[in-house]
Amino acid sequence: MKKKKILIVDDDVAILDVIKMILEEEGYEIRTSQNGSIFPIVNKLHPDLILLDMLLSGEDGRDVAKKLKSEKKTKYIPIVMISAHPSAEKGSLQAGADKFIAKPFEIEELISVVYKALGPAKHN
Amino acid sequence: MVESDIFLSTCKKIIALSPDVLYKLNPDGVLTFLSDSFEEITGWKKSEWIGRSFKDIIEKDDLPLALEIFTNALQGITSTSKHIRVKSNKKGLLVGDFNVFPDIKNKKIVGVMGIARDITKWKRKEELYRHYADLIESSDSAIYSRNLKGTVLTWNKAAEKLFGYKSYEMIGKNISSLLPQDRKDKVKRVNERLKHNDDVMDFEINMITKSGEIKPVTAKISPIKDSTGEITGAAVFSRDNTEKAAEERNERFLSDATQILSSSFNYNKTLKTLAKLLVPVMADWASIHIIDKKGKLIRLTVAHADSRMTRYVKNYEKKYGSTDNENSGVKRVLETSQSQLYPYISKELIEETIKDEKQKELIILLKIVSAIVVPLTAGKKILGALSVISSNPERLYNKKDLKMVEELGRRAGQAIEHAQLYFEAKKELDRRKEAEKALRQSKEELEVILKSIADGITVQDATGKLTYANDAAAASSGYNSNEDMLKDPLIWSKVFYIQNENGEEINPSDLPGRQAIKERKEKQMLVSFVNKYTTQRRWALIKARPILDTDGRVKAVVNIINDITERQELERRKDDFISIASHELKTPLTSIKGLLYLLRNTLKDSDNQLVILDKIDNQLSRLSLLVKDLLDLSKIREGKLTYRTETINISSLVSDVVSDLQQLTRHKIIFLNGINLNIVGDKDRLSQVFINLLTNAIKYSPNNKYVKVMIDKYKKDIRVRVQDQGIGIRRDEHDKIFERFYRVKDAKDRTFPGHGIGLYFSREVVARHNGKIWVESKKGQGSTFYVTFPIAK
Repeated sequence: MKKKKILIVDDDVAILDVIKMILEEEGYEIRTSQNGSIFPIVNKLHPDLILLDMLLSGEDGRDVAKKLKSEKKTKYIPIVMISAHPSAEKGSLQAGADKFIAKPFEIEELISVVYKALGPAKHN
Repeated sequence: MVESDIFLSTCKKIIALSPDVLYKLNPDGVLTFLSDSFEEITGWKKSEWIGRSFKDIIEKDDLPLALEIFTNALQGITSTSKHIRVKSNKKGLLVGDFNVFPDIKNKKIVGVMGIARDITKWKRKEELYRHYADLIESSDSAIYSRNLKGTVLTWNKAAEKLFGYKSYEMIGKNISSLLPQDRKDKVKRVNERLKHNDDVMDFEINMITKSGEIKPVTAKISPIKDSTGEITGAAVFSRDNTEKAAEERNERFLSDATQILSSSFNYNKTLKTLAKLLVPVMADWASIHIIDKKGKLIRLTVAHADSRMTRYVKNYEKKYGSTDNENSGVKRVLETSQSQLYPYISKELIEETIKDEKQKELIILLKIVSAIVVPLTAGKKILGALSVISSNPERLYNKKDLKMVEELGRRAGQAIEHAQLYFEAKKELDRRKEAEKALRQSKEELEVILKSIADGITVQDATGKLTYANDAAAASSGYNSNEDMLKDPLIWSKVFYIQNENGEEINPSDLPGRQAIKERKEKQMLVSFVNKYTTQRRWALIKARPILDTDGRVKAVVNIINDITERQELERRKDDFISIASHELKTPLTSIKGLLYLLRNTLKDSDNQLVILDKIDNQLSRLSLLVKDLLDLSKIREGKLTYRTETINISSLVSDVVSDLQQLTRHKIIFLNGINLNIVGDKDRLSQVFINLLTNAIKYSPNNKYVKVMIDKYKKDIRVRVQDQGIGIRRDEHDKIFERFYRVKDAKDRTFPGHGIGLYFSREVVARHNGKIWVESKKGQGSTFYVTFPIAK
């Protein structure tokens, strides 16, 4: 059975590592990126879910989300937007994100959101 | 013609021309001849009387005398009779002098003949003269006449009485002998004047009587002319002028005295001068007593005509002039306010009234003969007493003198009063001048302070008009000087937009100055001024404090304009930093949480390390809470705190908060609810407010067992009270606790755990719900927080 693939985008390496470790523990296959130039990866990897931090160095997560949602090949990929600004929820959803999580989040909340979006870590 | 014929005709001619009447009578008394002048004098015709008896023409009363002369003449006796009255054919009788002698012919008496002279005119003049002389003699006025050299010609009885000289002593003497030595030339001057004109002259002059007394008299001098109209002398009418002169002297004296009294406000000095003036003109001895500030009677001065006597006078007054002595005139005057007149103090009177032998002796030694004591008055106030004493039996005081001295007492009293008023006024004036000087000084100092102060300071009057601006105020408003600002105070409002704290544009009338005038209390406002052309923004905290007059009306308002642009900038950076920092904290927090989660998963339930992980988790939660608080704060500062609006039942909201908290505390939360009302607002934010208030109540009353929450309706509002019995809050902190980061300290200067954000947040939330929040508390006596909201319609 193939593991479900999640792409995590965050410019903070520490949080990138932590989320990666947690979700790997849950059984998902994880790829990470520290910047928003993720299209080559997306095209190659075809992730089942993208966890996208809204504030990237020099880039806006919402622009990335908009671009993903405007491409035929990628628009079906669910996006969970993460931000330290709780008020960013509205903007995130408008930009095309399917779900919003505010930092600092509880780990259980993250797992629950990912699970709701993807179901079990492995494809049936 | 024979010689005898010539003689006879000459005689006849003489007889015809003579003014006298020649007559002849026969022995029977029948008129046989009358000369021509008879007709002219009597008005009768000669023919009417020739052949008639002389008895018919003589006035009846004078007939016996006429018959006697006639009979004598028949017997050869010649006689002369004067003043026999004769009837005439004119008005009235004629008076004649008659020479009667016998008519002898051939040595025989054949009849009587004689000459009659008409003296009627003379007789009348003589009578008139006699009449005038009687008048003059019986006149009350002294009347005398004098020639051009001043020699006395007549001197009437009144003159004798007035001057003491008998007429025989004076007639022939020069009138100048009655004048005092230094006035003798006066007569010469009168003589000169008489020579040159005939005006009546009036004089008031002192003359010396026979007894040597100086007598003031009036003299009215009328020129006397002879029949040719030449002035030969003068009639002088003189009257005793003593009384009038005395009055005048008194008046003059009063006037002199008044001049002295008003010459200086140093009444000690002027009163001394006054006493000296009284002696010896009015008195032999004068003394002045005054009542000093303590109400004590003190003798100010004594003057005696004989300076050697002053010692005795002082001695006398010391012993007997004071208020202790029954007989003291000063005492009586002060007690009764009535002046005292002792017209004549005779030896008998002294014997009668004075018991003290020594006093008697002194009175006799000092020759106290007559005395006046009057009060020194100012209105009804008695300020002292003036005593005037005469030692001269010739100078006995009468009621007129009393009046004069009383007047003097009044004037002296007035002078004292005026002097005292003057000194009081001067004192007050000096005090005012001093105060003014101090005021001016402090005003100048204030001016310097205001000039050098960095804050802008302006003053508006009650109408809001600018009346003062210091340099800083002018500079920050774009003026070159404060004078420019006062000249045109509204220019700046054309250059700047004014905005309130929330960036909303406001009018100059919304500024706290006008508000302070309106509400009569201090107002404060944070405003920013944006230059319309440069868009540069300055922030200012404006405090307006009204100045009230004693009636509580606004006189003026002082605006203190504190330019806080730099501070505001600093605040903004701080807020930015807090905002950024708290955001930046979130990511590591999340990381740590994740790592803890991962670590926990590697441990078994029985592992002791799980306890440590729990504690790390707890601390992490606190950290998260702080970050959340800080973010809320940032949002409030940025105006980005969002609110939901829904209808909330306030009672159930508070009730929920109470139940939640009750599970977490050992304090008993007593909840009293008296209403069932709704408000519109954000449930979560309001819950947070009551959580804050209740956790504070619990936190700051560590030694108490319960806190109280009460909800009721108060006036038109819903009122929630959160009450504790804790450490309380000092009055000066009642407002500060609602500022951010402010934390109350306990008695030992320790702060309590917390961020100083809760109440700041609560105030913001309550304000956004159109409510109010405040505290009533005293240090050490617990606190009650009040929250009120308008009731939802």
